[in-house]
Amino acid sequence: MLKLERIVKDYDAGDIHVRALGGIDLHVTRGDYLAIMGPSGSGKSTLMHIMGCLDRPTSGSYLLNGRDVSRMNDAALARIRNREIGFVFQQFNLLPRETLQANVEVPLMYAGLGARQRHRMSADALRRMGILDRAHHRPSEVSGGQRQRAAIARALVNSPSLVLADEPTGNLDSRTGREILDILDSLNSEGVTVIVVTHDSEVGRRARRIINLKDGLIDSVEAAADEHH
Amino acid sequence: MNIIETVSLALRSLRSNNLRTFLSVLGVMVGVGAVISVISVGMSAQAEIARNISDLGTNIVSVLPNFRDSASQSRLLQMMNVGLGREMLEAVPALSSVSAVAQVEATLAVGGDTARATLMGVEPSYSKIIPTDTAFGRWLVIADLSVHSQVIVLSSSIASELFRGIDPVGKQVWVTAGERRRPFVVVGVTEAEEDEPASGAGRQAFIPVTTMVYRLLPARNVSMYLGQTRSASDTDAAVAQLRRFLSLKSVDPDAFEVSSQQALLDAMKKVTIIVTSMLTVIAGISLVVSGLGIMNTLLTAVAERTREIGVRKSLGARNDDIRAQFLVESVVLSSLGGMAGMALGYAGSMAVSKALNWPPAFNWLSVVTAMGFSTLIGLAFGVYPATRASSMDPVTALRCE
Ligand SMILES: Nc1ncnc2c1ncn2[C@@H]1O[C@H](COP(=O)(O)OP(=O)(O)OP(=O)(O)O)[C@@H](O)[C@H]1O
Ligand SMILES: [Mg+2]
Repeated sequence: MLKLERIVKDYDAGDIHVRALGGIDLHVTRGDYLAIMGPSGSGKSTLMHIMGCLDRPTSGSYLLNGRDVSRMNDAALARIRNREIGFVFQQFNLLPRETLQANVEVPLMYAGLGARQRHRMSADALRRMGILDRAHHRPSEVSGGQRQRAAIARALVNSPSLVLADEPTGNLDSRTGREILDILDSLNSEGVTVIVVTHDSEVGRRARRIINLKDGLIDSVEAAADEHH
Repeated sequence: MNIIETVSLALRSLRSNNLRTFLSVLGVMVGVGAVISVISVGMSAQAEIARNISDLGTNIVSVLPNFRDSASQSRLLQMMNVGLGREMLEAVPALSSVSAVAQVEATLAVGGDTARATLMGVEPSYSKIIPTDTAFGRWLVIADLSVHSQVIVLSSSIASELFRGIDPVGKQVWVTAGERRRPFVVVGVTEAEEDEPASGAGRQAFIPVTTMVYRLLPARNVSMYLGQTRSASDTDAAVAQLRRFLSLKSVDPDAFEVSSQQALLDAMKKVTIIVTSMLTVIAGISLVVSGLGIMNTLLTAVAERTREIGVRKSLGARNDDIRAQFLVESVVLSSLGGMAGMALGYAGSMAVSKALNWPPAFNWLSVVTAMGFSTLIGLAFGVYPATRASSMDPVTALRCE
């Protein structure tokens, strides 16, 4: 499903030249569950942005569902992000002025769906995350865990085949974090490909494979010891 | 995303910073209000000028001497007799009537009562040129002129001041003009004029122009001629023919100033149009400045909402969606200002025309122009901030704190 070959990402800011990714080769099959780990600055987020079509690699090829997305234009990438990918962020990244339900409707709006259909689909997603009763609250009026649930509802609402989460538990206490991870686990068990960037070895244990990055290169790949899927 | 959703999103975003929104709307409101008021007040001034001048009639032509030195003055004054008016009427077919006019400030006395008046020496045709109706008695006739009879037509306010309700027709009035003092018989009283003062100077009394120049004035000349054309469309021809006739007659093309009310009206209109356009340009500048205010507001909003832009892009917003979002915000801002400005402009122009007692001229064209302009300004000054927002790199925008 995902096929990355010799992916390189360079940042050039004037004289300073940073190689964030030094040539990544990675295959991810449908329904896979990956944890990407590694020290700060090792290129985890950069890799996730490329896999999420938010960014293009400097060189290398990236096939997503058989299509080479490394050469696509902005509009085509926006469409892929909208239809095939769901993002979950450490800082939740909900729109602060909108209600949780309106937040969940944003991807549907960009998909061009009508108000009634959006309303129904967003309500379904919120119900699934157990926060339908908070639908009309703003993000500032609910707890961190509820915010992350709303963010996951938003990531799922367009039924993407790939969910990318960058430190999804980083801003949550350990119990709430575990609840969020349980949700990701159950998503994966329904066939959604899940890739989680994390520092937390507890998160790593739930994945099928752990990719360890170091200085922009894959240092090691380990199959998770505790395979409970 | 349809347009209603885009507009309601824009309104919600604008509400999140009420003060900033209010200030930039205020800017547009003042600009649009100024443009509408200036145009409307200009139109109302034009209407007022036209009303004043057409009160006098647009088919009136006047001939005044053009004194440049004492030699030309004495030569011209010799020419300016009652007969010259007759010659004009014969030489210029476009003219339907002409009256020589001589005027002097005089004191009228009956018994112990006196009244100041502008004494007008005119021909009978004068009442057709400057519409003058008699309420009592009669107007001047040809016979009065041929025998230089000492008859007088009083304005109604002079009549009531000197005679206090007694019928003045047939009574005697003593007229003093300069050194001379002569008795006149009242033959008529004109109808009351709206704008005639109840007492003091500025009121008129009419006598035959021949009586004026032969019996009252030291010099024998008249001071001007008034002519009337058959219709307003004849005035330009009449003016040209009169100029030709008079320059042949006096061997001097600039001896007389020939002008028509129509030309005066046109000239005044031209002046008001120039003044109005200049003021409109100045008001328009304030509209453009308000556009800069909008641009500033939007640039600030784009900077503040960088992260929102990144999030929206990560959720599938295309660059065009982001651009449309901010452009619509800009147009909503400017057209809110446009609508408020329309109300302000309406109130402003009504207040001015009311205060000056001018005909109200709230101009719909100015409304369309100002609304169109404010929308255009929203678009024009919104393009840059909106494009800036849309071209943001999603990763950079997401990393923004
Ligand atoms: N826009 C940029 N310009 C220059 N260098 C960048 C830019 N973005 C990232 N980098 C660099 O690329 C490298 C990888 O960054 P990245 O954010 O992927 O690390 P990370 O593994 O996610 O770290 P963390 O665990 O702290 O989130 C870092 O050295 C970083 O400084
Ligand atoms: Mg990171």
